[in-house]
Amino acid sequence: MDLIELIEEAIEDEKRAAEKYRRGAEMAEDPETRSFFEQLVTWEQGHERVLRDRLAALKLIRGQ
Amino acid sequence: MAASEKKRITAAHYFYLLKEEEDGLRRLWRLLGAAERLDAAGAVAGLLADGSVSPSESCSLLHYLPGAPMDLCLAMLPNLAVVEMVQRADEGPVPQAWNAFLEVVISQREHIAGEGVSVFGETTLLVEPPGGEAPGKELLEVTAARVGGQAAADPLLGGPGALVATSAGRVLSSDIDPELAGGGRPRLHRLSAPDPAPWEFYALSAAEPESFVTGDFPELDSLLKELDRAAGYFRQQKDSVVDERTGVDGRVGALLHKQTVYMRDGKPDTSELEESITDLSRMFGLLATDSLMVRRAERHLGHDLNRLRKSLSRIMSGGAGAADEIGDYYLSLYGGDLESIRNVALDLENSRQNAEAAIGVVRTQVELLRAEEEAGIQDQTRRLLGQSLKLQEEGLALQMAAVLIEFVVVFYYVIKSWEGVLGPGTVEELPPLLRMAPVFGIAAGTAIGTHFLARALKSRNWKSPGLWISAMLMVSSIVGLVILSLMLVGTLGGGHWT
Repeated sequence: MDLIELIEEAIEDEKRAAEKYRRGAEMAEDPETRSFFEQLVTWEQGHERVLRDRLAALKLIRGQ
Repeated sequence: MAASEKKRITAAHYFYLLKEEEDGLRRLWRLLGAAERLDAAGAVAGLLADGSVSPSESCSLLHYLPGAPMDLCLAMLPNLAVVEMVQRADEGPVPQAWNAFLEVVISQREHIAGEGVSVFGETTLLVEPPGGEAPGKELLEVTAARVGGQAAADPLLGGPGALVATSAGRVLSSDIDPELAGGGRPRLHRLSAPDPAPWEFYALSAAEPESFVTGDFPELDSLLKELDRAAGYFRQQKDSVVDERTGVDGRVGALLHKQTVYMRDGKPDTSELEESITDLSRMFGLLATDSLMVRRAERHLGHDLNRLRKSLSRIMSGGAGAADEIGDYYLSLYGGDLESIRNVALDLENSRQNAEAAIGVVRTQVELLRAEEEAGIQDQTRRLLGQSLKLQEEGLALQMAAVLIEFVVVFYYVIKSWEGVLGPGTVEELPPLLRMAPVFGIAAGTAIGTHFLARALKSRNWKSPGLWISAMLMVSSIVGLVILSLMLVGTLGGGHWT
């Protein structure tokens, strides 16, 4: 698998994970659980941002 | 290579490029990668398999191979992209590693310059183990040897001993937040390079430099480079803006003086004043444009200074006894530039207001002159109207005289003609009032009718009541005269009037 495809797939995975945790936060009945899921959402968004940066850099260097 | 065999970072060199310079970035990346015999796939594989390095998250792309002497990192910063060339070494004498690194940097710079890659700015960061208060003595010795030895004539480094001479005098040191660069007392030192510096030199003393070297430092350094570029551009522009403003102030003063002399010594020409307004408006436009440019520079520099303050407060240690000479130096330097911009903006605003006021003064003078000219015209018009009125009055008197003469002439000839037609003494048989009435009617109708006829001819209006009344008066008088004549000669009953 090409590296760019790999990173694009990883970005989609991060988005899906963030969405799952967001739903978890919405369904959470107590503040502690909600806060836990919200933190996970933030982490996944951070991962997605890092992957996007790397994808952009890789595309730039490859001239794509 | 096992993860435990971790290599220390000993030095890094940063090439900053504008993000828009995509082609330059690609060429630079390939040039440096080729020099280190790295390829993208192998590099990433090496990184994934090895795990012996832990670069900053901001390092978006990494060339790293366990056996290679250098690795490369590409980081996308807010406005710039930076290619970081990082040297790692096993345990061994650090000065030797620095020496080798400086050799590589000088050689790579020549290579890059030959390829025409446009670099925004560069910095070298030499890393030493923690413990030194100031940049290690060894570091200065290495740079002295490097600059004073092999590269003695190297124009890039400004000549023998230049770096050391200035470094010895002005080394700025700052304490870094220990959480960013390992425990103990991590410190960053700024070495003064020859002026103008081909690139900048920093030294870092830290136990865990990895993340700081590949992430926090280029973030701070790129910000300083952006500020340097913006402030340098403004300093260049400032002289011409100040010259323009001074010139405009002088010309506004001269124009106002000229107007004052004009108003005192005689009336100036309105067109000359209008030319002055055009001149002043042009100057006003110039100042407004300069003002806009300076305000934009003020916003830009102010915004970047705030970014620098935030970055410094995050990176530098806020602990007791901690110093931040680097931060203080740059905040003071660019804070001074910002203050200077604000002063220029203020001066420009004053000059702009002066030019605006001068335009108002000259415009008022033009309006006053125009009002005077209008008053003169009105006076002339009034005199002409007076003359015309007089002529009209004279015309009316002459008209009245003509009417009177016409009346008398017509009256005389009508009565004489009537007497002539009816024979001597016939008309005298009529009572004087009856005799005079038709003659009077014909004479009056003719005189008045002539006046109304002339007016109708002039205005081409035949519906004038005066014309018709006078015509009817004349016709009825003629009819009356004919009836009376017929009665006198006996055709209509031969009446006797006495």
